[in-house]
Amino acid sequence: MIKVKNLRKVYKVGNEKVVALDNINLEIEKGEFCCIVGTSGSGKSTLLNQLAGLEKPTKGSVVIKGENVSKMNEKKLAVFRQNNIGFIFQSYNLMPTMTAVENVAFPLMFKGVKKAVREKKARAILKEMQLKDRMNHKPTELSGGQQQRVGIARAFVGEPAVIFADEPTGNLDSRTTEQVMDMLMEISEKNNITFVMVTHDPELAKKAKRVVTLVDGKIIHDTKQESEGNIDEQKQ
Amino acid sequence: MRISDLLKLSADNLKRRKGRTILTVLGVIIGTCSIVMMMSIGEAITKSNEDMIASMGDLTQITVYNWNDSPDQEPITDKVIAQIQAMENVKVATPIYQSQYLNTIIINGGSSGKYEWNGWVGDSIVGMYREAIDDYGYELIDGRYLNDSDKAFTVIAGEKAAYEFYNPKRQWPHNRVDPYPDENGVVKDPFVDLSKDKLVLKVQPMEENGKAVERTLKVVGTVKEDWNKGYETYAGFIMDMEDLIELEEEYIKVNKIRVTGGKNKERTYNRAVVKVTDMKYVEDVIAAIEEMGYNTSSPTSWLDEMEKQTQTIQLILAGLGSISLLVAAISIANTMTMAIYERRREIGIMKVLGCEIKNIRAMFLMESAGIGFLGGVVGVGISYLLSFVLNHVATSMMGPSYDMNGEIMKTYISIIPVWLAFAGVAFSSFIGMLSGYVPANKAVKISALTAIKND
Ligand SMILES: Nc1ncnc2c1ncn2[C@@H]1O[C@H](COP(=O)(O)OP(=O)(O)OP(=O)(O)O)[C@@H](O)[C@H]1O
Ligand SMILES: [Mg+2]
Repeated sequence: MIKVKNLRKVYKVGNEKVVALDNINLEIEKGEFCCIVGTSGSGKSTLLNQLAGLEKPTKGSVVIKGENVSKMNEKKLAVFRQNNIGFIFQSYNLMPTMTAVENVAFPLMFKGVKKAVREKKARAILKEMQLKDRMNHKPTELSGGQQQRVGIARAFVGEPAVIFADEPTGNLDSRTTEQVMDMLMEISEKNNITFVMVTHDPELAKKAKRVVTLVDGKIIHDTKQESEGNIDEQKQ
Repeated sequence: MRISDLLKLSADNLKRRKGRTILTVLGVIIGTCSIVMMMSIGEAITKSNEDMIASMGDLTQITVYNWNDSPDQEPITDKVIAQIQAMENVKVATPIYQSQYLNTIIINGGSSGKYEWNGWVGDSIVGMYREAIDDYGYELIDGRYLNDSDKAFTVIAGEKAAYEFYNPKRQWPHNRVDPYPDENGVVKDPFVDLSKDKLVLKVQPMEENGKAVERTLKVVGTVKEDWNKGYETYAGFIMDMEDLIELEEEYIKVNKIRVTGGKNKERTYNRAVVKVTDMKYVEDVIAAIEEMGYNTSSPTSWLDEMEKQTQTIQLILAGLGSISLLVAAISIANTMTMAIYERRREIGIMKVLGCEIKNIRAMFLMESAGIGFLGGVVGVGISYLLSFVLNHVATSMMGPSYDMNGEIMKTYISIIPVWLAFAGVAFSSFIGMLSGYVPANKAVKISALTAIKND
């Protein structure tokens, strides 16, 4: 589903070069739930942004569903995102003027889906997420956990092939984190969605079947957990 | 993305920052008002010019003349007039017969020809092609136009022609009947009844022992007084040109006048009138006639000159008005730049969610065009109000003035035609969009990463 080849990202700050990602090779299969872990500054977010095509790599390529995301122009990328990619943000990033339903339905608006159709779909998902009685609330009227659930619903509404999430539970307390994490895993499994998530919490990552560990822009561990107790570890 | 969704997004964003939107719209209102008002003043000047010119004559009429004062000028013949008649957009062309041999014409009327009417051919007695009288635009108020079966010297009278008959044996003012109502509102009957009394037209001889020629007139119709046409509509007579020519020939014969050029010479005219179907074609027809080598005169030639001047004035006024719209445009650009700066993050989110950049651009352009449109609509509305008040004040300050029919004339300082109202709204919307163009293009360059960064 996702193929990363020789990915390198270098930032230039003044005269200094910061190598944020160094020769990353990675393959993620369809329906896989993958966590990217690492210490702060290890390049997790940078990797995720390259994967989602939000930033162009310095070298190498990212191929999703057979299409080279790193080579797409903005217009193609926008359409590709509409149809294939969902995104969950750490700070929720809901539109402040819109209600929960409108926020969830928002990505479908870009696809040209009629208001009635997209809001019906949004309501159904919100119901599934136990937000039935918060449908018409604005983000400021919701708790952090509720806001993130709206954010999650928004990522799923377009039935994407891949969902990227950058520390989706970063702003939540441990109990809510647990709930949200379970919810994410459940829905992606149910819908066979490839899920790539960044977290700096190794405990949380343990729930995932696949854990990629970054240190200084390099993958140092890539563990695949076929089933409980059977850990297949690869060192790069 | 659907247009309806784009529109709703833009409208919601404008509503979100109400105070700022209203202030920016206010700028556009002032700008639109000043342009529309300035233009409307120009329109009022144009209209008053047109009214003035219209009072000088029929705007669809062209006079072609040849006073034989230059030998290389082509004579006006029946053939030439037929040629003009055949031109596009010419309603009718006819000579107005002038005679160098006929002196004062007297018409005797009433019992035993006691009352007299005096006039001249070409002025108070107008002779033209019989079939042209109708198309020339004389407005019948009684009777009918001439037809082919009418005998010679069947004529049409001007509205007040009957009142022009006076009693030569009495002193002024007792020798006449006033055609207008007296202090009791009573209009007295004239001395003669044109439809019943016998009317004898007589050519006064030029020399003392010359012989007069007489013909009996029959009046079949009356036309409305119309000073755009001439005196004949007031107190004169309109008749078939051929009757006047026959009268002239007879007069020449009985007085044994020697005519230069011989008898079989082709008839030529000093003056012909051409009526065009619409004012807008007058210029073209004039050009075509002058191309043929004739002099023309027309009230519209004055109008052209004045219109050029008015256009210059209007341009200067509009220029003054557009300064304030320019200021408004700058303020729109400023508002949009601020709005985009504030909404950087939202733009980033939209990009991450798959919004195409053309839609982001369209959203901001619609917002700025919306500001222009709102300002335009309200501005035009206020302009109408201002215009109404101005005209009202002007009319009451100038005191009442009356037109030729005695009706009160309003003084217009400002006229806003429908096209100007629409143009005002369209222009301010366009300016709004234009001002939003640079900010909107800045907005689409905002990186999707803006959504990710925590600041
Ligand atoms: N736009 C940028 N310009 C310059 N350097 C950058 C930029 N973005 C990231 N970096 C650098 O790249 C490295 C990786 O950053 P990144 O944000 O990917 O880390 P992270 O693993 O997500 O850390 P955290 O857990 O704190 O979010 C860091 O050293 C950072 O300073
Ligand atoms: Mg990060």
